[in-house]
Amino acid sequence: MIVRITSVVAACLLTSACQTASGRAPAHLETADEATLSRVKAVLSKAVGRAQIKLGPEDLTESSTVSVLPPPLGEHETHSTAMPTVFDLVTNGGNCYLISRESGRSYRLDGVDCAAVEG
Amino acid sequence: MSRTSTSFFAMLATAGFITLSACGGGGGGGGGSAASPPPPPPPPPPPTGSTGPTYTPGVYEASSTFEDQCENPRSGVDIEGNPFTDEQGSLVEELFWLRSWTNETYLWNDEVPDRDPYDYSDRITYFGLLKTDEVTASGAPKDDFHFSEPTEDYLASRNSAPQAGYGANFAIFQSTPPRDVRVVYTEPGSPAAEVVSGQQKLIRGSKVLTADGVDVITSSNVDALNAAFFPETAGETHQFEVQDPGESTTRTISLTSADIVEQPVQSTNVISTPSGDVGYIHFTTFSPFSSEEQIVNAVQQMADANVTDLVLDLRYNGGGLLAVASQLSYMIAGNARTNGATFEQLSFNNGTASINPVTGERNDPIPFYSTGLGFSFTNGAALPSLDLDTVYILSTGNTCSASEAVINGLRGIDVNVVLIGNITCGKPYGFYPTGNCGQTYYTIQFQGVNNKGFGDYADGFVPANSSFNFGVQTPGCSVPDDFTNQLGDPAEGLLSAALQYREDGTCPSVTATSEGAEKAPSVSSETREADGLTLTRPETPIFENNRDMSMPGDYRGRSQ
Repeated sequence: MIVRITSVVAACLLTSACQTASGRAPAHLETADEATLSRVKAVLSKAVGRAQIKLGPEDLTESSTVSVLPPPLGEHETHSTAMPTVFDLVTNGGNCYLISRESGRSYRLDGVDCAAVEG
Repeated sequence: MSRTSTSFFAMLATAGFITLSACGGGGGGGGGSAASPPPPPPPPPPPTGSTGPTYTPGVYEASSTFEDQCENPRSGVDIEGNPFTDEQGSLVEELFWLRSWTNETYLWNDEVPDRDPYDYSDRITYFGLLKTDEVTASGAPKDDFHFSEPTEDYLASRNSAPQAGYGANFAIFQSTPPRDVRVVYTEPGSPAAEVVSGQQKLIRGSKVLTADGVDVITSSNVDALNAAFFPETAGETHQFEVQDPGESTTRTISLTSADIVEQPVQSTNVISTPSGDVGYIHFTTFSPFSSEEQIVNAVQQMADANVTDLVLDLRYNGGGLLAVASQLSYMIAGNARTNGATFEQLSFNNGTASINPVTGERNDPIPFYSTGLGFSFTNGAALPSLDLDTVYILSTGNTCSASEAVINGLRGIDVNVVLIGNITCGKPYGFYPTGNCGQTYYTIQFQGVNNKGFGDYADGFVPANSSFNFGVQTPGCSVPDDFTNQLGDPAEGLLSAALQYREDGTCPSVTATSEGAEKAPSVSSETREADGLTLTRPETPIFENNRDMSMPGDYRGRSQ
């Protein structure tokens, strides 16, 4: 737990962008090419404290929801509480952010273009 | 990992045991199980210096004090890229960690005798003692799920790529000569399910007689059997002689191995009856993340077909993700019955307190999830529902854990769960595999309870007309598994019984006509002798490779 909290704090410091300001709008990625996803995963890695990041089924060029899959179950885990960790992709002031639904913490996505979801 | 020359025999003799260990058997988790406490070893030399922890009976320092203080610290990163956090410590600090961690998180921590770590010289032996010795009403150990394995194995297992195979799941009716190995089911789209000239290569109930010309029933040519049954790579071709159920003749097939990806939903069917269409879903695992999308799609098919009832075949489903179990339960019962209700509440050694003592997070009840969660079905997308007040669940002793959570969760909101088949495995418990210093420990940390606060099904759920005098009595019929008909066929024993019960509320008379019911499965120890060969535990990949070698019928020593 301590490690996890430390990771979250470290992620905030590294991105220098822990924010709680309003004015956010749900967003999607402009592109989901390998380089973009790599940047997104790097931020998510720090946010969840795991080196490996595998994303859920959402198409991030259309969806503002980002699911980070938990580690796969071991063969003996038959009663597992594992859940994806869910983030909301938002845009604010020209920047993209991932906001953890669980903690509310915000992580800036540098070098990633996103656009507000229309409608 | 290479296989040993005895692994096929070992598989035959112990596969049921291994599978049960994963879900219900005694302490046989992975490489380093510790089920049967051996006599206490001689105490190690007293610690040198004065820096070692002090043992005070009944006083437990926080486990974090001893965490990662390792006799043999690792350095670098694990196979998932996460850095090791080990520091130089000592064996006794590892033992103190186990002692404190058990006291903090073990569900029955008040039933564990306090043992002085200084009296022990092996962490696995010590861990094996940190459990309750109580028994259930059936006489089975209350804690049948206490084991450990090297963290390296744990991580390798959960990150393993699809492995070569044929996509056939075998059962063992007789593990020693004369052996009896049959097909339980085949993965859709796999080599075993390939249809040639109108004949599927392997079907449920097919008895394997020879492999590459070697007699499966009697031969001691283990290497040949291993090579045939367990191809090392995709693209290997082997010949098998099989006898299909009800046939007196045999046929020879050629199977070419491929990388097999487990399909959680094996098949679906819509069965027309005079009283409306009945849906059938054969669902074998909640574990892969694909299980979410597949079960949603299967239920959507049933909804599209306007079925009036559902037969859910969980007879070989050993569990997995509780969240998917919750989604499935929602899709069966619908919004009106589940809205605001609890699917499962985790109860720890501090009861259903608001904080999970293992994770430190909030211990919120698990609801009946009505939307996708993002495993493989879009987060937030609405789930279909059938809005049923009754569901027919096909079960065996391999119906376990998250599968039982479906039964219990639905009973908690007064859905009539009709159980057809055999007593379920009885695992209302769960754990968070926890690594320390290179060993991953599994100790029961929570019990799941339903919306009514019930979770005492450690002896399983049992059909009401069963002769078992333990287990949670559930409406339905005790029926032996049927290997003479294909799964999803209305003539298949369990499905047929479900349809009969649905029609008139009666159970078929059990005549044990199915081949599978005639013989009790055999479970052997790892040291059993056969044909002059000492059997050894099969290596893990055998069980990672989509080959469900579980024994048909019941286990944990229970029989009617």
